Amino acid sequence: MVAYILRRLLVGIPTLLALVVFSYLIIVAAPGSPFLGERSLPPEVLANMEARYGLDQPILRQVMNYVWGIITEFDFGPSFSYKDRTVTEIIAQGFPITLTYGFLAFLISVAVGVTLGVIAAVRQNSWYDYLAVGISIGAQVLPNFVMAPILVLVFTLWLGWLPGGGWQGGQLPYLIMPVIALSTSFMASIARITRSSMLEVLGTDFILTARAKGIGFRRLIFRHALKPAMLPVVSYLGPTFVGMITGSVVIDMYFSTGGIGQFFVNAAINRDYPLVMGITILTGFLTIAFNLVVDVIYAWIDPRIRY
Amino acid sequence: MSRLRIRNLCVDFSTPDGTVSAVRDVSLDLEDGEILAIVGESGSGKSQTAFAAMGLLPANARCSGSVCFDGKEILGLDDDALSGIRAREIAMIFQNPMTSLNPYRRISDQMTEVLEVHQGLSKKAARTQCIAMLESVNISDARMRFEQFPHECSGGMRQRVMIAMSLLCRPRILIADEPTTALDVTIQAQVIDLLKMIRERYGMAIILITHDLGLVAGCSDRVAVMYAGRVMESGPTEELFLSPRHPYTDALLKSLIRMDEDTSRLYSISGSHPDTTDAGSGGCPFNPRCPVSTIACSASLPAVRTVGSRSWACIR
Repeated sequence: MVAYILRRLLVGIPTLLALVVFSYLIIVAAPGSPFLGERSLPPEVLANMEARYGLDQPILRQVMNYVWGIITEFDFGPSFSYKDRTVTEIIAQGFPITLTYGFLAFLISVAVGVTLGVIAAVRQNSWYDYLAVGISIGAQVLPNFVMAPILVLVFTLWLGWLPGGGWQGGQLPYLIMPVIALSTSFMASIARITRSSMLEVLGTDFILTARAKGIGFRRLIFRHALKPAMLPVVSYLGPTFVGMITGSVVIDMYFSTGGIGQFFVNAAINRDYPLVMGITILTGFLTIAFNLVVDVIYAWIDPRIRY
Repeated sequence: MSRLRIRNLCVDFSTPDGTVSAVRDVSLDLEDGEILAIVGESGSGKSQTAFAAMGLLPANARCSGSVCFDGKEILGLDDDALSGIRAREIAMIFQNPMTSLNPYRRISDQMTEVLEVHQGLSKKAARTQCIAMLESVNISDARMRFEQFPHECSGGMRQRVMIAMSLLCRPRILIADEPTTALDVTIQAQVIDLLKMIRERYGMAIILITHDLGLVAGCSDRVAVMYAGRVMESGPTEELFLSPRHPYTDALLKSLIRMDEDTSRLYSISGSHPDTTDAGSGGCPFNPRCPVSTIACSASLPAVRTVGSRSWACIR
């Protein structure tokens, strides 16, 4: 198992490298330049700036310089659009914010989603099941860019209970709406996956055996059915978790939380190559890491899986 | 009073294609220490009869009639009420040992929980009893097997584990639903020997559900032959094999491959098992396939005739 994890991490290195090279080529190939603004700059100034940031070099050399900087000095370069700040500084500032509300939203969507899904499956075709399925469909058709304005409308404009935006170091009132807006649609998906996989498990032979043993309902669900029913949920949760903690553009923009989702979009619009690359690498690294975590959890749930 | 008494049991399933009557008016008795074989083709309702007795039918099933254990009605009880019966009084083992054990849990956890729940034992106390039970069903290296996961054992081994697990609370009745169907022939014989051994040792009654008449001849005391959800004939095994009263039983026995006769062509019953969605035209369900049917057979359902220990449902 340990050898497997190490091997997977080693394989992750070339994967990340390929990600870096391809993303760099794509973003540079996109039309436009970091220094094209509303005011057109004199050609000499433009040439100076490009030389300053190494953009006058052949593109493969640029990529190599970039990768070399990361390997030797863990330097992700300066931001082009936020003057005097490095990419590392911007991520260090924005990522904790996204991580905070993303992780909270993740916990809530898992807890609520799994509970709803399990109860719906156990009480299949009862009013509870229809309610739970109804709620999940409702939540799924209300993605965060619809949820966010609705929440603000109700809780800020009508009721005046919660601030409509800002972060303030992540105080509770500022956290509530971003977390709810981000979690609803994920919660709905988790509930639906849990329900269908739980129903499948409840129809298996070994559940029949467990029922014939007269061990009682709670034991049947918690000791026999829940673990296998979680397998499809876990594989959904890996990429979902990464998506949630690396932030949602909509949430960051709408609630002005200052998370990296916002920086990512701005960077892409402004052709801020280093910042786009920095956030891409962060997301890529987390994706590789959490796919590995999912595989490890799989082996823990199902003893037949051995690496 | 018999240990288990089934009277006029009917099981219907409501399906999108209409109501399926899987079990119709089945009455059976089971005495202590007896092996009762229920034989029949696929879809004849033999398993559903047992599932109804254990309260294990799916949600779309409706049952009526009566199932009495020790004189107490158990048909229609909910899971909570039945947990006092299941495993403690009536245990059940299933057709496919490969899928009947929970693949995600150790054999130890699956076995000890029976004693933890029903006898309030600690895991440690239960452990000793479980290992002893594994040894008594001839599992070598019981201590090692006990800690394994089901996928580390062969099919025959898993069925032994199932049997050992079912015996933990010393139930009065063991229902074995086609326990050997998924096993190869040598393992089949071992499992059947094991069932006979536990009947001797614990004085339990066993209901053996099977479609294998050879198996029935080898070990059961009494046989009930089911067809289209009804019991066509029942009686002591030897008598029933020697002189079948019902044409269906007769036809089944003729279909057996005999080692002591040189047969060039195997006997088969023409036609196929009736569709159980229609409620029955009122006549004998075997009538369309019966080699000796008369006009009277399609008129009304033949009444069950009982002579001594034998009974059959045929007008002849």
